[in-house]
Amino acid sequence: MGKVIATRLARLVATLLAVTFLTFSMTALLPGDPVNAILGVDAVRDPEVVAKIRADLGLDDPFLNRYVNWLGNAATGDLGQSYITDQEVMTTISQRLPVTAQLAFMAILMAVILAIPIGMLGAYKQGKWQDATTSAGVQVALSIPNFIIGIFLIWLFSVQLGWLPASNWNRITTDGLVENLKTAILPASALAMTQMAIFSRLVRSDMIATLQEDYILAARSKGLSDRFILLRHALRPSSLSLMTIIGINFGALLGGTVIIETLFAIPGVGFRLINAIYQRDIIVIQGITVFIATAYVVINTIVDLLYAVVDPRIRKG
Amino acid sequence: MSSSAVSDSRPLLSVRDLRTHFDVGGHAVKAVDGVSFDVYEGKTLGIVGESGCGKTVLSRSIMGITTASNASTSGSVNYAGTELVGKSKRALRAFWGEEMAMVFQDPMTSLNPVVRIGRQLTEHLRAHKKLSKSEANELAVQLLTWVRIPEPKERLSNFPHQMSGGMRQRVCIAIALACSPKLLFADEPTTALDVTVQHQILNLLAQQQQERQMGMVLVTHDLGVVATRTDDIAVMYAGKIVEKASTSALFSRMRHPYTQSLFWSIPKTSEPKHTRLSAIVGRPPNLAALPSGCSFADRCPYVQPICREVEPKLQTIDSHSFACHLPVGSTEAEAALSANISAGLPQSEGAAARREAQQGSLT
Repeated sequence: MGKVIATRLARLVATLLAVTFLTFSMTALLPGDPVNAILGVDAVRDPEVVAKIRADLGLDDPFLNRYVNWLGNAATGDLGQSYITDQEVMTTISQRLPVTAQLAFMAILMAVILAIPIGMLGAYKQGKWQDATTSAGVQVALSIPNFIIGIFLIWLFSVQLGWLPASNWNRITTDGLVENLKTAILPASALAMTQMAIFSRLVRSDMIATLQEDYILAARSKGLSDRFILLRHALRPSSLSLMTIIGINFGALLGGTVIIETLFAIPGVGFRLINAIYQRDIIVIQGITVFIATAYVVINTIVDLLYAVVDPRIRKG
Repeated sequence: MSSSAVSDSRPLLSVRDLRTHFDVGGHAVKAVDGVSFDVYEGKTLGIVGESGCGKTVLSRSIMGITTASNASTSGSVNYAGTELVGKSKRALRAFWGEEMAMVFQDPMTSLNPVVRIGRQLTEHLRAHKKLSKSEANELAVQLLTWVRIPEPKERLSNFPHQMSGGMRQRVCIAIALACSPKLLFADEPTTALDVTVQHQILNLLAQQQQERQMGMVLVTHDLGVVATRTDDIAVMYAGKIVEKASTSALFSRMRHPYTQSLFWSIPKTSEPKHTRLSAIVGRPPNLAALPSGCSFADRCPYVQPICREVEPKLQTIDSHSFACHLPVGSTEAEAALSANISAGLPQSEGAAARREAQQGSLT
């Protein structure tokens, strides 16, 4: 176990080095000077002022120097300050990452809870009307972009029924859980639909394969009920690829909820990242990227460890 | 379902004209095609035949556990007075495990890899008989002791991959015995195992069958396996029974050329070293397109024109049944074989060599 965690940590460090280096070079390659963004396009272009700002930000240093400097600071927990807002990047992240993480977590949780029974039903009734109906529904959910679902949910639950607010975000810490959930449930549902569709397809196809196994026939010959066989014999062996996709998609949601965050005016991390990119705010881009990459690796490490819980043959591998 | 009503003379299981056909692209694949036999309490029936002759489908059709949506079963399966063909899955489930159980071919794949042995041993017991967890555990230890697995208590928390193939098959047998079924199907129970383990498993099965006075159907491709461990033998070819007799009658006088060929293909330790193995020429016929006449004709050393035209009916003489126009041992058969040998028919070569060897040893 200790050895496993040590290799994972080494892999995390290597991943982070690669990710930060790549984002650093990307932002360096992007056209447009951050100084322009800071001063504003219409500002008086005094070459002396520009030169001073460049010197202050270290923009004149060679690329590698800047990267190593940034890396050294980051290692001590200092991700720097925004060029534009002067806010500490760490502060930005600590305010915004929990919001996005909560959205992603709720979306994945809802998707899994829906997808497992839907996928199992499709596999159990393969080729019958139950399978055809759920498969068609899943196909629809998969092909509608999540912002369309978001708009529909707002129309239904906010405009027509008036049950939930159309936008904004209440924090658990200041407004309490119930108020928080009122603002979280719609955007999370919008995100969950696509995930549910992906997950249920995966569960269906994996379970169809599992139901062909000899041990399922053997379980049947013991006189066990179909429900018992599905839940106690077929579900676990059918959930390995589901776990993999959950890990990957959870990471993807952390950086990819920007459209939904924009639609629902949620102060999440994706929203901030897009602004930073528009503004060439390299320090903010870099800081947020590192955090998302870390979350990605950590989540996938947890998934890898969970494989062993689900399938005993992987233990002591 | 009680056994007290069944007298000794009435069979425990009576199969009549059972047919299981699979619809594959509009063609009927006749995996089981009009099979009839009886199994009595405390007796073992061996079903012998090559791979693909329908033996596995047969045993699964009798229990009714075939799940393929393109399969259709007709005929009659009477278990202790109850007709099983046509019963709903829900109704059949009451018989599975409790009245009849099955040991599968490959213990590597017939145990769930992610479920502990203890639970797999008793989950059906708990479902059928409503046992508590501790009662079930006690019984699981008892079961493992019966099938002679050392340290049974420790084994309950094992996963299948922590056991050897022979051990796993013992566990499978224990699972099948758990609810004390009256009828046990063993579908090639030793084919996937090491030769050294095969005998132990077969002996274990035979001993449990004797102690519990179960009816047993032992399905195998190996005549050697059934020779000493069965009361009756049915030889299957291309979905049909081609010969059926008591074990002693069958081995003392084989009537069907296929049975004889199977027997010849067993390597014997009494033969000199490097004796050529006697294989049956050709392959089993395609079950979707069976030839008219006898389906063994293309591989039969005795084959005559009539065999390709008229399908031989199963006839019974002194409770020995066989389906052949030229039964082995008849003068017609000897004449046919001589004619085929001199005509140089490839499937008769083995018989020719055997004849020569016999004559050589006589002179």
